[in-house]
Amino acid sequence: MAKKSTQGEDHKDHGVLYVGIDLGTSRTSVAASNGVRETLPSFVGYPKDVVSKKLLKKDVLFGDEAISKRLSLNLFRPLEHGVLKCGEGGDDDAEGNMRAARDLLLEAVRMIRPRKDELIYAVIGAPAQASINSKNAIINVARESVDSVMLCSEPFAVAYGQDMLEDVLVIDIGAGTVDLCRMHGTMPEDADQITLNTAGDHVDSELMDLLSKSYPQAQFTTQMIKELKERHSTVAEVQAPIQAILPVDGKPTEFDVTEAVRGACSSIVDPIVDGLGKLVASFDPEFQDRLKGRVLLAGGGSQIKGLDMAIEIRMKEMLGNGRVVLIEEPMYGGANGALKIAHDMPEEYWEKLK
Amino acid sequence: MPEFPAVTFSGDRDGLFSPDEVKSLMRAECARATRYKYAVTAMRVAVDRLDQLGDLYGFESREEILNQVTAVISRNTRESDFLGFKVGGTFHALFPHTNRKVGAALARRLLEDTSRLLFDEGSARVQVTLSIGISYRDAGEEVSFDGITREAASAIDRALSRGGNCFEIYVAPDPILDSLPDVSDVLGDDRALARQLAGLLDEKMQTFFQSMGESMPDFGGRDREVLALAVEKMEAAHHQMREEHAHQVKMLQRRLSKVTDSLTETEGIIRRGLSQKEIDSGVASIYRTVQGLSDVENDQELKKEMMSKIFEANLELRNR
Repeated sequence: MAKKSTQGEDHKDHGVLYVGIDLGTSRTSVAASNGVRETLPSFVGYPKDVVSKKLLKKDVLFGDEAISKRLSLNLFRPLEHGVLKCGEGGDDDAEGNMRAARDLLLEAVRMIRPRKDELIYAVIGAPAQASINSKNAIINVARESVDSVMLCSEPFAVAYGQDMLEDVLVIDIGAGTVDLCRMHGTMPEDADQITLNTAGDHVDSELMDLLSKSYPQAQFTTQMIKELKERHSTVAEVQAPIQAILPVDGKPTEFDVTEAVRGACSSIVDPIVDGLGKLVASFDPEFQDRLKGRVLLAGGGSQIKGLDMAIEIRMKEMLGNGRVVLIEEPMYGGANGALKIAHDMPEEYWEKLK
Repeated sequence: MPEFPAVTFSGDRDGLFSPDEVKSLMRAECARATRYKYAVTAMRVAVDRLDQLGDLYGFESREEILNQVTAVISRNTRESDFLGFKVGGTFHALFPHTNRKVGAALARRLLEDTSRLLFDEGSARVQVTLSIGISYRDAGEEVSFDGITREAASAIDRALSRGGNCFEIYVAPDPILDSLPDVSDVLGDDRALARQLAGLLDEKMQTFFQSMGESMPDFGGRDREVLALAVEKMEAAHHQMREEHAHQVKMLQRRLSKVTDSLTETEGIIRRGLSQKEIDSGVASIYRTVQGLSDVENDQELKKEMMSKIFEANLELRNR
């Protein structure tokens, strides 16, 4: 620990590491007050048998490594629709998913390289309308990796991180959920938040359907489609054709997937604008225009090319006007905001939640 | 290993120690061998027909023969490493740290070297041979001086009874063999020998059945077949036992192999651990100086209220 020398350095020697965690369905991002920021796919794999364990030389694999070695692993994606698969939805391996979530958080905390002597206080972003059980499950899992933990609404964390607390509409597009939140200078309540399931996974599913219909002979998996989407996702009307190489009877074959990709990505625009419309319509009429003019687009899904423009156009059609701003670091927007909340939280609150 | 005083065999009164003193040293050495658990060999060496040769060629020739044999023994042994004395024409020696195999090799060398000794007595060339008796104790066995010398004496008697020019290692008597009746008087008479053996067989079988608490059944003159059958069954039982043991050995070998693999793996883990001497001590929090955080914030009151609400919501969640 650094030696105390000046008044200003007292803070540096605080002995607490604040962490903001965006525990996402597709990716988990962490930002910490030691300056470390990391992100990894939310996949956890355990060797299937002793042979694979000997080969992999590890008891548990995470992220991209787990995806690349998935044939030798029992692969878990512990979150679905932004919440833990803890049996609430009738998931058949709730215990395995809980273990995977626990290990995923431990790995995320390990990645930020905390000092052994530092207390870790974490804020985790949860979907705006997650159930009490889901929130409890996340807290129980996180308690093993950090010293004190709090949950907050994901879109609120994004807005807080951007210091936009008044008259803002936040769109946080994840893999499992799209969270919409209306900020109006106070803590958002249930009526200020909407959670949609038409998120990244929905785009993958749509894309698979469209490709199956267009190219029934092509072979592909969910993972291949996900990679294709992450590389080429767009809702832009004018652009170069998207060529994808997919196997047909074992032979790599090139397909034009432009329309399928655009169609799948566009499928999330209408539900989002519908949700925004509901939040705008139930707001004070005097401030509705200001609200429509301050729409914040965040989350991994915001990286779809032309999405901000597409939402704006649709807002103009449905709501008269709208201005969408894409945040600078969509991948870390939630984690950065959660970190800022963690840091702003008074010490005594953390102590009480230990 | 103690350094022993040199003992010559040149004569009973010529050595540094008298035979009684050497015996005392031998006793002490036997006690030390028991205490420190090392092997010991006692040897008794006699020149074959020495008295007859002395009678025939005179006292001087007898002494010459003894001197030559003494020289042979001295050449073949490290004098400083053993204790010895001579009584009449017999050499007594005790070799510490010498087991049965080494003792036998030494005896063989003595016999070979002595066979090369030739004494020219005018018209006759006299060939000298030795008889050697050996007794030994392996490392860890209790050594009694009286016991080991008595056994060496018994062994040399056997060598002499075989005609000399040989060595005998003492073998403890077998109680079973000793219990057998003396059949020397019937040797050559096949029928008498057969009768004696049949009687012996009956006796043994009766003992066997009695040990099982039963009387011997009447085999109707088919004792031999019964015996053959019993032997066959015993062999089958032995065979089965051997197979079981072989199976156990295989299992143990497999387990040993597994333990070896596990140890190799553990060694690898330890090696990897040792190679990571530079353990990452982590990155310390620099608190308000990163991520755009600062002490001076806008909307302090609003944020304070929001933090309070987040805390209350979490506290409520925790208390549910």
